[in-house]
Amino acid sequence: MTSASKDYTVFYKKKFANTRELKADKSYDIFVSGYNDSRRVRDVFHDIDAQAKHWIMFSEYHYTSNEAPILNSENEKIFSFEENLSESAVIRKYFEECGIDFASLNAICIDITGFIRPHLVFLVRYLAVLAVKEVDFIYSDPIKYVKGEQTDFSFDYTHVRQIDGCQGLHNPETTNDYLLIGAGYDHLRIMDVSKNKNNTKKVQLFGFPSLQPDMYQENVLKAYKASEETVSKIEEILVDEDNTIFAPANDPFVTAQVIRDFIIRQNTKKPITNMYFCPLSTKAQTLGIALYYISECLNEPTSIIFPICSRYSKETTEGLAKIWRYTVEFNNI
Amino acid sequence: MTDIKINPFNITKAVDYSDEEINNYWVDISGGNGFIDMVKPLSPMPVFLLGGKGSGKTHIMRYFSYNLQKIRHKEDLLQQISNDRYIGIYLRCSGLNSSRFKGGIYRQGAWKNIFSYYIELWFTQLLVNIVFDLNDTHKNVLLKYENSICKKLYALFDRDVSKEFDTLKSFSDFLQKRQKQVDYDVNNSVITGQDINEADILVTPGRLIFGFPGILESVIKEFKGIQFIYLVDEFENLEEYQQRYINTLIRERESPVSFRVGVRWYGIKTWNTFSGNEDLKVGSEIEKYVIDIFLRNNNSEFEKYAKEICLSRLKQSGFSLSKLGSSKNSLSSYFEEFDLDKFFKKLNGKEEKHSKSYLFKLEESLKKQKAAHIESIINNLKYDKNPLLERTNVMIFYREWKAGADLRKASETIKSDCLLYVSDSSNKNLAHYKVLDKFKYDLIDQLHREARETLSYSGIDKIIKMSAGIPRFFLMMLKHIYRWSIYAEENPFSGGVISEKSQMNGLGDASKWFLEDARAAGIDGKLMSTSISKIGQYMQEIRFSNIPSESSLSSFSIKMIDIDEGIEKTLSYLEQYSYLIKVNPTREKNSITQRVTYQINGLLSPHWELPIYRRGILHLTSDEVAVIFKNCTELEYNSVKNLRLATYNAPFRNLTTPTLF
Repeated sequence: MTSASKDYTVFYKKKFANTRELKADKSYDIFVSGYNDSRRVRDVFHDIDAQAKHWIMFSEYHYTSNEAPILNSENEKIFSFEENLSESAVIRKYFEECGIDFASLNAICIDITGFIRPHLVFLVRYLAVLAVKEVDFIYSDPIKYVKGEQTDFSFDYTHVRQIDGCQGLHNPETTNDYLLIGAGYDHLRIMDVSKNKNNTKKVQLFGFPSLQPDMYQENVLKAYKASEETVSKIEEILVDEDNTIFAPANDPFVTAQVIRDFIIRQNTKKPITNMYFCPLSTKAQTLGIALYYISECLNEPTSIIFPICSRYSKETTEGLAKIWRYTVEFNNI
Repeated sequence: MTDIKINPFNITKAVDYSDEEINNYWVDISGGNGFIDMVKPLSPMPVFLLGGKGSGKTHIMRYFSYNLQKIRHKEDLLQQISNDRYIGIYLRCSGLNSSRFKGGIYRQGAWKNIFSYYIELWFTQLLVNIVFDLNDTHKNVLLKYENSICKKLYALFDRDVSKEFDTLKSFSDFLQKRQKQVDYDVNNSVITGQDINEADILVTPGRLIFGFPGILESVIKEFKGIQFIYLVDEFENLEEYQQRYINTLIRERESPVSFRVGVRWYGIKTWNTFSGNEDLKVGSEIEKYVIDIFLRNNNSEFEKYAKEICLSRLKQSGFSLSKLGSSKNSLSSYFEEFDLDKFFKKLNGKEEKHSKSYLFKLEESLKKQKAAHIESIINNLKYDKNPLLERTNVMIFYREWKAGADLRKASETIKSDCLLYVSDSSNKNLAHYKVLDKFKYDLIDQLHREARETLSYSGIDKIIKMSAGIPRFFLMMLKHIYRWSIYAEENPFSGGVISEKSQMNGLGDASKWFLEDARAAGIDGKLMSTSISKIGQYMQEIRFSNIPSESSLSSFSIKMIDIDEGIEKTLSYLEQYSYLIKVNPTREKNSITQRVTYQINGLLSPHWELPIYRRGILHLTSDEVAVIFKNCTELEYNSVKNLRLATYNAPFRNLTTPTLF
């Protein structure tokens, strides 16, 4: 499943204090962002320097036509999609409708902050299939979540399934299956996915250091609520070296590396029969999971699964603390 | 034993057990007619084991699997399996990730073909792995059969595959390769948006699933006469058409193959088959058991079973307990039980505004109504020596109030009756006798609530009762109770007694867990959550009203004619998720009206302060059924609720607007 020499942490990332710094640093052929009410998403879209700017309107946010973003120039476009389309259908449709050959562009920037996670994962998978060489991904840290650990993120859960394009080649032998959950604040979804794969050993990936100092504690408090489904043999211990790993909440490359190291370690102890990932933590960690998947899990008994919800909060955060830019070199990943 | 740190009840799900633990923790219903008789491994008749979450399906299914047979038969496995006369091939449907075989651009028929092919490959790989394991255990004793097996296997395929494999190992590799090709095609189709090439399906549905065991049985002499049982667990994870396909295999099964299916109660999406579009017939084609109903209907057996589970856990964790039944060390002695005198002392130690809040509340109500002689009335109702009798006085007074009696006179009669009751508590003519005979435990609970004390549900027998025939609920309660007891340094099961407080805390946690855990998905799930909350609160408000109509109120009934399709669906959901327990059908006295009765699951009782025992039944009106079990506005719900409560609370007249229905 993993070669010995890979190191994701060598990829380039840069931090910006505000959108002015980001704008001054680089200009792009195209900028793509998922629209929602977060100030941090809108400000980046407004200020970034790009020849074309695309808003993707995810139907899961349930915006009405009156709530569509106002376009400030001719190089800005909105792409909307009907409800109940799968992530692969939405992303393929976007590429068809925009008509741009991404592989031929030199400077692509995608803000993942407002993306719905399954769509983000499939997008990364699709960009790799399209043989795009390099993409800058943007993720903006919030100052805080609107209601701390009580913040609601997703609603109207329907079912758990594999994310399109990340459906592994699985084994009938299931005696040492693992589910690695990027554990965020949304504890109900942690429960949903854990119940769906209830015969797996659960490992939780926590964002540490967290986006803000108090967020780690809030995160663990929320994850504890799902502990009946995620912790089994360990006496009352949620955070334990056997069932938890840590990666910075805003670093996809360290996330990918930490996952890689964990899997090598577990396989040495006893070969993993089937591996499942579920990205429920930050979008930066979601990107990390997707990168690890496209790099090392294709044609393996490994899937990325997700508890599908038909509705997401339009706004869950306040403020913009920092902006991160991660440069993914697809041909080197 | 103070060094024991591991909670013996920590594992509450069979999926968290190793095979060894499944074997060690196995407990069957005593006195026959238990799980072995339910599964009947030697019977060719397929069996469906239905049950709520935690009812023990997976534990039972795994117990009959090859891995457990291997643990049980350490010596001469092959001969022992031959003696068992069955091999259990266990598979979890969740491992199939079967939700990918739907949707997109393909016709349903195409998905059915792909899925059925995939199932052939998957089931057969599982059986090949068992054969490999047996062969390894017996130093290649089965290799001599390989040639004959492979030759017969070629005939099962629709194409010539003789060049693809000539050993069991290469057959396994071949199956794996074909399975991966399907995985790859399905996966690729969502990336490209292109159709799958169906022409790669190499075998007719059922040919391998029935054919391969048939070959093994005919070729390997040690397998002569044995039955191959596919133990299909987590059946609820399959899509409707996929269940229908498995149902079809079950209907058209061929010896030496049979099936045992483990499925959540709400997880059966269809009984239909692709054989003439007919349903599976219970009795003639399959047997069906609902495990939690089975356990609930065998009350005393379940009690013994639950205690055995508890003792088995304690024993496995290194606790030393004498056999259950020894009075000194019986399980009950480890759990503190409710003590009325102790409770009275506790009340006496409280400020009167809490311990006698019912008197203050009554005084307030009388003042609001501008009643005369309030002080005298209150003094007549006081009886400091016994809070329960004092509380009884108040309840009787409210009854008199509702009946329109002269309040001062009524209070005087109550006072003298109370004293008579104290001198002769067996006098059945006294109002106090009648009230206490029926409402004693309700009044004790009222006293708890009014004094801001947590209601008591303590004692092992109550805990078992609260688990409603579901072993996981029982273990979950014990897990939380043990945790609180350790926290309170009570040394549980090692000389100490688990206090009422620890039991209450633990039960509260378990109750909250159940309420959150048993959520159904989607819009139906939302309505279900709202409905159970409404009915729970509704009964709570009635139970703690001034004059509750029924004693030990934990059940309600609905007229059959009030149940439309939507309500039927909600009730069915609530029952299948074990929120509600259906009680035997009743008929209204002097009426032809048929009603269906449900009891709130005992594990939820602490959440709404309801009793775990059932006595009175709340007969819901048509309006009540509609506002509780259907979507409605808060205004509509409150309007109906207030109408009902007005008859139970002073001043006993409806102050709200009439019902909207």
